[in-house]
Amino acid sequence: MFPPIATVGPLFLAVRALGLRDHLAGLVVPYATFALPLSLWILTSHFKELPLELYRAAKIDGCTSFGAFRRVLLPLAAPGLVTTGLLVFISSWNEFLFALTFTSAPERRTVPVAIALFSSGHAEPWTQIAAASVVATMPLVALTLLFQRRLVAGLTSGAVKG
Amino acid sequence: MASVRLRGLSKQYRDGAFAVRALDLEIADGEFLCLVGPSGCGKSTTLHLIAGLEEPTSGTVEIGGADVTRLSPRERDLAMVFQSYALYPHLDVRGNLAFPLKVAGLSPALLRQRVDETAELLGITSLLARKPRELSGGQRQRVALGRALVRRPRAFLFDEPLSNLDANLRAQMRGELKKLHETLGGTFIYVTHDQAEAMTLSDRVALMNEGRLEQLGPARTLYDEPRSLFAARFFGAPALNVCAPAALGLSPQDGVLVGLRPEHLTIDAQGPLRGRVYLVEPMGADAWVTVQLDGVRVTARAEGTIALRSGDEVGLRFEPTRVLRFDEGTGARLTATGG
Repeated sequence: MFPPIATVGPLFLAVRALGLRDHLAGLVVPYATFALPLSLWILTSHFKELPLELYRAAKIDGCTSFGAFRRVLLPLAAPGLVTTGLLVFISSWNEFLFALTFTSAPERRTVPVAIALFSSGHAEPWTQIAAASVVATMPLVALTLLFQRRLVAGLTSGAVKG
Repeated sequence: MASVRLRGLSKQYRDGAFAVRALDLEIADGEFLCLVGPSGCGKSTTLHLIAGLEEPTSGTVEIGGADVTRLSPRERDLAMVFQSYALYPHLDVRGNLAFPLKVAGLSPALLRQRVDETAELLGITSLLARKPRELSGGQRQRVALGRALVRRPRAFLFDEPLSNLDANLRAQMRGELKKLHETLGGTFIYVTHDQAEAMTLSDRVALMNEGRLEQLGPARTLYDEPRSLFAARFFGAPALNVCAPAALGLSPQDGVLVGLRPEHLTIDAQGPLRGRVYLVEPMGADAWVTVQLDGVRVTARAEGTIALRSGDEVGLRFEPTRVLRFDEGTGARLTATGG
């Protein structure tokens, strides 16, 4: 809810108190925390769209509640899981403010922070910045292309009439 | 296969409404029982209670003489065919048929053999490699049926399995289901709101109304000897003619309604009842003629070849023994001696 700039101060104190400065864990924990509400929201709506009768059919066919979830609901929710995973990955991959604040050692810098630090006092190396940006975007493009088939909706068509 | 017995079964929702109220029902081993009634009468809930998909508020469910009220669906060993088919869309037909067996932990060889046998029985062998979305409605229905049969469960539950099919296919599948029951001899519990399915398929019919068992018996008995106005009206197409006795020229009687099935009311030029034709519905062999009598419209049967038009004056005739009498207040049937 809050803009990141409002939370970065107290979070910095918390990260420092936990001794997580310059550790990737110091970024993983806040990223996971901030991504959770959106992920839950998307996934809830995905699971809600699955027909209740499929769950019932799986239970009649001998599954436990968890078995029905694992064997039937989870495979059908795959597009939602992939979509959510990609969104969270993109936002974490591109995140700048926390990464800049919670890390200082060069070997712990994330890509956006490293690119921002290309600039020195004397010159802006635009060509290098542009090249680095392209390289940094490649994994995202590759991932999206890889999972494109999975993202196509309508996997549940044919389960129930209509 | 096993018998199923419901004792005082009730399901009350949180808002206090009863879906099923004190239902006592015994379904014999190998019987084909239809649960029928209008929408919202509690028939589907009853099926869910038998399957273990819902928990009863009170009462017990027994399968094969053992109390299973507190057991989960998997422990009850029943199979169910859903109205929406509920095929697993991520599995092909073979995967769908094999699913219950795989969950049960059958050996791959035995599993394969059972799936092939079932596919053969239902004539879906050529579809085994297809996904549900590549099947037509009738084919999906067969696969759903196959997934139930492959289990060899203790009883089969059907939740309006034919409602989503078009009329021709429905009639064909209805016939196949009946034949299947004769061949396999299993306990079938079949929920439907379609009186034609109930009439043609079942050994016995349990008619439900507002969560209660209205009448139980062979379909023929419910048709000929309905215990209430509700039962009389539910069976028969076109619906029962209901009116005050005087409208049919019978001696007036307070608090009594009479019912007469359309096929027991015939067009006859010399008939004692006179009226004007309101509507003619030719059905092929027969024609249903709605006639406006004095203050009431009734439907009568005529030969399909009859040449009548709206507004024509006609006579009607019926056998007084065919008249059913009901208490106007309670809807209970009044027998000749009592009424």
